[in-house]
This record gives sequence, structure tokens and C-alpha cells, in this order.
Amino acid sequence: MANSVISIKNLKKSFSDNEVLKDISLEINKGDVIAIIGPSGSGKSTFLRCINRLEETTGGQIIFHHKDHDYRIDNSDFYLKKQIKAKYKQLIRNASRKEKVRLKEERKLELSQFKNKEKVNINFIREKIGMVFQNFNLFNNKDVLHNCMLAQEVVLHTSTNVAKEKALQYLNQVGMGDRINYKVSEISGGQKQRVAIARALCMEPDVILFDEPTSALDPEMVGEVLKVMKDLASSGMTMVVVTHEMGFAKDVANKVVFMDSGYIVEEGNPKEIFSNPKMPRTKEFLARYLEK
Amino acid sequence: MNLFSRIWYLIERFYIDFLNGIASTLILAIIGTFVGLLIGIVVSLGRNLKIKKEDKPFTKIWKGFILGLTSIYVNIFRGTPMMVQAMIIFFGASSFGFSWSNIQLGWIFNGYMICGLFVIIINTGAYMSEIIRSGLNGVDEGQIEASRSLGISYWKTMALIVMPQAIKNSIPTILNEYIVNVKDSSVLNVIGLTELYASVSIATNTNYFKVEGYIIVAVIYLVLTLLATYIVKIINRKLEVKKLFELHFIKRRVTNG
Repeated sequence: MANSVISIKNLKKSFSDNEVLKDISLEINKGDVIAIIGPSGSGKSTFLRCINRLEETTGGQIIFHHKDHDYRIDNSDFYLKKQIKAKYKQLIRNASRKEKVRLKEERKLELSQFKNKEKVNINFIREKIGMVFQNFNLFNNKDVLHNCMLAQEVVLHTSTNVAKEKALQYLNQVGMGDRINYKVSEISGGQKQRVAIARALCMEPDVILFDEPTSALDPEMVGEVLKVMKDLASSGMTMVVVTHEMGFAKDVANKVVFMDSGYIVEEGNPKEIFSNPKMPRTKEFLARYLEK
Repeated sequence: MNLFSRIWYLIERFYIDFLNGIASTLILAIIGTFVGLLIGIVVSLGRNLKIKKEDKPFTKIWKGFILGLTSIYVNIFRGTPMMVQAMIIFFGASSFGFSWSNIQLGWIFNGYMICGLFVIIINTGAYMSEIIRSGLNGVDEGQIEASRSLGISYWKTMALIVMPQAIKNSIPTILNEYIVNVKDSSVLNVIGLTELYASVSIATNTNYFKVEGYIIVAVIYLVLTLLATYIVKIINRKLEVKKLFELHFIKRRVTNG
């Protein structure tokens, strides 16, 4: 377990009545490059967004390990509490007067387990978990350099000089060192995504989540972004990549997770999954790639 | 004496009154718009709060309180005429043992002016908050998510990323509000404030050249608003047209090979 960065147990997520994630368990270890593949609407992106709590979870556990500390990211306590309250409300309504007192005591006891829990500051977790989005989501009111500097200055309180140095270092790493003064509207999609990766790297996160980073790009630009990601993977960065680029999943990932309709159908190393999937649903989905 | 000589007579004799009127009107419009904008920014942040299911009961209460308060403010001051607001605020103050006309800060900043400024500021604040709020909604959710994913707190995200873009996008509308204020400040003469419109009655109350006086004032108003419109146009061109046209041409260039 010492090697684990994030462990996810029985994660559940529903939007009102629509259950998107049904039961997801996954261990993300240090240095892992995990590719999550699957059809659209299978909950891949939602799963990724749950990891840094851009979506509130409705059940299960997400635990983030950072320097011998465990932090709970999920929000399931809120829903558990709600469930317990609802259960006792029902019981108390139908109980006799004597039982009511007893039930109220019991409810108090059961709810007391939530009382003294250490509250986690979600912004502290988000600092350590980088994210790259499908639509780049760069800050339009800043130029390339300041996109990378902003979070360092505001969140980590680094001085301007240090922040600039670090931003330049990572912009050079993604090959955008010569465009630091460009506005966001003046660079192409592929370049935007590379800047977004540099922006995430500037925070020196423990893990970076990629939410379909190449889906909004044309084929020519996909290459440049994938190259940056490949370099990143080989430098030992822990990455979780939701992707439709099967080539990337096959070559770069050390673990492939196939998701469908809210479940993890199959997970394993890419060679196994791309050459000899066990589940029929995986076979069906990968039929086109298996022939090659 | 024909029309033009009567107009010239008024200008020659009473230009000081007209200049004072212009000063009052411009002060009302500029300070009213600027401070109103600041109020609008704060109020729009309050109106933009969203009560989430997962919030704690206490958070829900204060969010609900702020939401209620700001929406009452905006609805009352957008839903009633400024003239009525001015009357209530000016004459209603006496029932609280307070008299606006006792204030005297020198030059044209007498009690009427202060009260007029107060009215125009809170009135503009209500409109501005809606202008800024639509600007806030125009900034795409993705940038907020990206900022949150970097660990930047909600209020810092608002202050550093969302608000600058919202204000930039609504600059034309804000300047439009300034033009409206230049003209609408004329209703403040009901509380005895001598701005540009009221300066006519000073200039004409012995000679009865009313129409000539109002023609002069109309021309001055026109010049003031046209100037502002011209500035709006230039800024518009710099902000919007450049963006739209350039994008359009770039797209055309790309698709045409």
C-alpha cells in the first residue's frame, strides 16, 4: 500500500435518479500510467472528475495518500448521514412512545461516528492532483506564461521569479517555450493543450488526470500532444488518462481499464486486453482494433 | 429678437449656470456609473451564489440570506422609477430625524447633490449587478473547473479569472449605462438638485425664454451622449469586432486551404 497514490473503493455516483457509476474500485500506484477506455456515456469522465471532487460522489471511498497521510476525497459521509437519518425517521414514525426514546438514542449513537472526523480541505487535495481537460480550459484573460504562473502564486505562494522560472521550465518541456507571451486566442488547439499540461505540471502534482485530452483536436495536433504525454509517462509521472486513442493506450499505458455502463468490465495490462480480452463486451468494443 | 439671438442672449448671460449644470450632470453620471459598477460587482457575486445539496445547513442559511437580500435590492430598484426613489429617499429621511439639505461640502456638493448621488448610485448598482451577472454567466464553466482543479479557491477564481473576463465582456453595456445616466439624471431635479435640466429654469425664470433654454440644454445633452457613444464605438471596435472578424477570417482561411 505504500506505493499507492489513490485508492478507490466501491465508488458510486448518481445524478438524481440516473446512476452513472455503480461500483468502481481501482488502485492507482506511483508511476502508473492508467488508460481508461470505453464507449461514450460509460462514466469514464465522471469517474475522473470524482477523483478530484469536481463531481461530488454519492457512495464509496476515495483515499488519497500523500506523504504518509491518508485523505478522504469522497463525500459519501454526507449521503450516509442522510440515509441514516431517513431510516430512523421512518422507524420513529411507526414506533410507540417508549421505543421512540430508544430509537432517538440509537440514532444519536450512529450519527456520532461522523462528528469528530477530520475535515479535509479539498483545495489542498486539488493542488496535488493535476487535471487536463478536453476543451483545454485555459484562462482567457491571461497569456501563456501567466496561465502557468497564476496557481503557483495564488495557491503555493511562490515568489514571482521562482514561479516564472518553473513555468518556463515546464513550458520548455512541452515545447511551448518560444510562445510565452502569446494570448490564449492566438495559439492552436494542440498548443493550448500542451500549455494546459504545463500548467498542471507547474503545481508538481502527485498524479495528473487527463480527460480526453486529444478528442477536441485534429489528427495532426493529436500527435504533438501525445508525444508530450509519452515523454511525461517515461519520466515517471503518475497518469490517469481517459482516452479514445487506442494506440496510446496500447503503447504507453501499463494498465488498461475498460469501463462500460458504470462498471469496470475488465482491467489488465494492455497487451493482454488488446490481444486477448476475456469479456465479450470488451471483445465487441475492441473488435476494430483487434483485427490489426 | 429672433430665436437665435434669444439663444445667444441666454448663453451670454447665463453660461455659468449652464456650465454648473453640465458639471453636476457629469459628476452624477460618472460617479454614479463608477460607484454603481462597484456595487454591481459585489451584488452580482452575491446573486451568483448557488445553494448545493451537499452544503452544510449553516452555509445554506447564509447563502440563502445573501441571495434573498440581493434579489430584493435588485428587484426593488429596477422595478420602480428613479424619480419615485429620489422623492422617497429625500423626503423620507426627515421622518428618521435626518435632513439631506443640511449637508454642505462646498462647491456644488450640497445636500441635494449628495442625495442625488446616493439615489443614482443605488439605482445604477441594481442595473449593473444584472449586467455583470450576465457577464459572469458568459464565462465558460470550464475555466472555473480548471481553476478549481488547480486548488484555487472559489473566491479567488472569481476575482482573478471570472470577474476580469465578465467586466471586459460587458464594457459596452456598462458605457451604455453611463449614457442612460447622463440623460436620466435629469429626473433628479424633483428633489431640488440643479443639474443641467434644472439650470434652464434658473436661466429663464426672469425672461421666459423657456424653449430657447431647453434647445440649448438638448444640444448639450446630445453632445455629451454622442461623445460617450463615440467612445463606446471605439472600444467596441477594439474589443468585439477585432475578435469576431479575425476569428471569422482565420476560419475562412483554414477552410479555403
